[in-house]
Amino acid sequence: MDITIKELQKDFGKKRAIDIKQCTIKSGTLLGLVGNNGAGKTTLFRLMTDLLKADKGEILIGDTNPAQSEVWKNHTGAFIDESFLIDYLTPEEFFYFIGRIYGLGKEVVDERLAPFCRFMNGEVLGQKKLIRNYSMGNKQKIGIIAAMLHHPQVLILDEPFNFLDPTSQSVIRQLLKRYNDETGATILISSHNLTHTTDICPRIILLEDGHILQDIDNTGNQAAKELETYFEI
Amino acid sequence: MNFMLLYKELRRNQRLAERRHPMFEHNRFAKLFIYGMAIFWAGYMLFIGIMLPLAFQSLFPNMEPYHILHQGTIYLLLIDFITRFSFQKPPTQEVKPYLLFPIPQRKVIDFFLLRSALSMYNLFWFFLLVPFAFLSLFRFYGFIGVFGFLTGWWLLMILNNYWYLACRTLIHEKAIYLLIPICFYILCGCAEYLPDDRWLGLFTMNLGEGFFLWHPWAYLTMLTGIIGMAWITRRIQSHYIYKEIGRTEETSLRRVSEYRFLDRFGETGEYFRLEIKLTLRNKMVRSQFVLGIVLMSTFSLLLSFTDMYDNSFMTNFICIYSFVVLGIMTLTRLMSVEGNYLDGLMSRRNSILSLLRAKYCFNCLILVIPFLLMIPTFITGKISMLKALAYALITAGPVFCMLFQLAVYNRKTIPLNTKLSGKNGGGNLVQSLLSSSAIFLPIILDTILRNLMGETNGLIAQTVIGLLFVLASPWWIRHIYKRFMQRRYDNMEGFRNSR
Repeated sequence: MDITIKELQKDFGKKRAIDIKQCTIKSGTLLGLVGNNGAGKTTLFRLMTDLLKADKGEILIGDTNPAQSEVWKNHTGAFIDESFLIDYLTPEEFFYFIGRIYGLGKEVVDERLAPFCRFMNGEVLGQKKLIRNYSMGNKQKIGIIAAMLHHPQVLILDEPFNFLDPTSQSVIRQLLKRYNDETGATILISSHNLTHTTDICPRIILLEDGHILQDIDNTGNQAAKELETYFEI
Repeated sequence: MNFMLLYKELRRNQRLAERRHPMFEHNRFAKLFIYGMAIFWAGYMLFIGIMLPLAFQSLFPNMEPYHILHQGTIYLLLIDFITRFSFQKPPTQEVKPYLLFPIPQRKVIDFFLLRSALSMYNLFWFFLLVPFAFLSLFRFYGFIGVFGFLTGWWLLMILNNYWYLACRTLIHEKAIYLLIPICFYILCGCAEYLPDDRWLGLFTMNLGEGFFLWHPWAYLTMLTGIIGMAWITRRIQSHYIYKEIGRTEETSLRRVSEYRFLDRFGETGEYFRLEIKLTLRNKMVRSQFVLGIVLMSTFSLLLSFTDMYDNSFMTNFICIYSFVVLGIMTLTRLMSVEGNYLDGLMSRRNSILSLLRAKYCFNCLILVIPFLLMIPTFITGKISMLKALAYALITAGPVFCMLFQLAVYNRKTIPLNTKLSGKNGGGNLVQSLLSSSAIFLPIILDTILRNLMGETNGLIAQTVIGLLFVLASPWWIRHIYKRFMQRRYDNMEGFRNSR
């Protein structure tokens, strides 16, 4: 499913947080969004998921503008922060809740959780614990899995590697890559971790002060050098 | 940092918090109504303050009006205590941000306590007391006497303020603590009515005389009382605040209930299940709910098994109150608890609509409790079944419809699990306005309809009105949902900023 951004602007007071003239993300793209703090990555994701109102312009997910119709919710999964988690449920309850909202039975949910077994590392399911009592890393895992549970055609993850231990970071990297290969879903991730981003994303957008500074083709892994130069690493 | 400097800093922070509050604009709008209502009540109290000395003179020609008033001090304080539950914010203390600063922890709590003592709310009764004092006391004791009388009453109100804060903190923690004020007022009743010479009335009459005669013992008694009560309140608040901050939750659930019977109700059933878990698993929500149920049941049982409210107005008032109290306590914060995870809900289709429907069903089902508890009154004939049915339907209909409007206007997240130390503990003026209306509008409607159409027809009319609103609930809930969606960006910003 294509994502199209047209003349998009979002201001917070006098500060223009997002100013993107035109950008198209083709269906099946695994796109990495990088940029310094305050570059507008999370704001862009919030605009895409209709959690913020654009001051000008629009975003289309497929043919739908999220601000005008709720249809996009059927085929989009997102995890931006903890506010996507209902923290007084256990992870199982939360997954089944999400499943039922998307019309998935318990068995289907269990089946779909199976590929995440290694990612969960035996620390998420069967603990009889409320989500709020989990560590930040495990909450992050729960959020990512919940976003992917209904097999969305568009997956938006804000800083998915945050709080995760090195093994889990590696596992989620592989999971995202495989999900993209198998389903042809459009995946958008933002991250400060340049290694992970350049490793899995064939296309990388460098965002700064709300503008797209560079749109880098990373099919041959050539983005790493460019980004390292930009970030003066 | 000395206490005055700290006081100024904390006061400045509190003012900034109010000004930068997500509901500030709404509060400003509601403030106009509140001021209007306050002016009305102030005028009403002025009127009572002028009429009361005359009434006392004709009823008790052998006693001075101020002695009569002072004999009834406990009644005035009881009314003040009860009204504080509606108009005074629950005692929350945002001490957490200051914990690591080089400020003694107790000083921060002292600030909040001092601020509540100096609140203008403690002067509201002066609308009644000032004219009363000038009409009954001035000619005997002059300005000095009036000043002493008013100073004494101000001190009484401060004492009552601390008593309220202590009780409210305890009740906030566990509903069972409601027994403390109940027992206290029962004891006061015993001290007043069991002995022949009305000990309590006599004591308060002498205390009042001590005020306007400037007897040091009267003021010493008051100051001792205030310091003692403030100390107790501080101990209680301090205990619960630090217990809450250092709380380690029981991390493992013993049993995870699935409420499978709700599966058949589709998405609404799913959100109903969520509502049950929200209520049972979150300290803040649970305590409000339990307190609501306790109040609801207490009043229903008092109505059923005692003769306390035997006059018609009070019977009707308590009957309506029993039905609306839980709705007022839970629905005034509609969506505010969901503010904690609203982004997740908003990224799923129609979830808010299903959530509102589930909440409506949940609250309607709860109304069965007071109805069942009132069955003895149907048998004794104190309240007809038609009346209970009419009030239940008026609650499920127009009252809930009115309270559900807050889903559109609430835009402040309240913490799910912190009560005393959490942010955003207090309500806002829009909520106060709607919760007051939720009590008074049904009473006004009931009075008008029964006077216009007679007892039975008036109740039938209310049943029909209530039923129409209930039947129209799918429509008005959808309407609320649409308005919520229209304001979603503003609301989500507010919820996000207040998390």
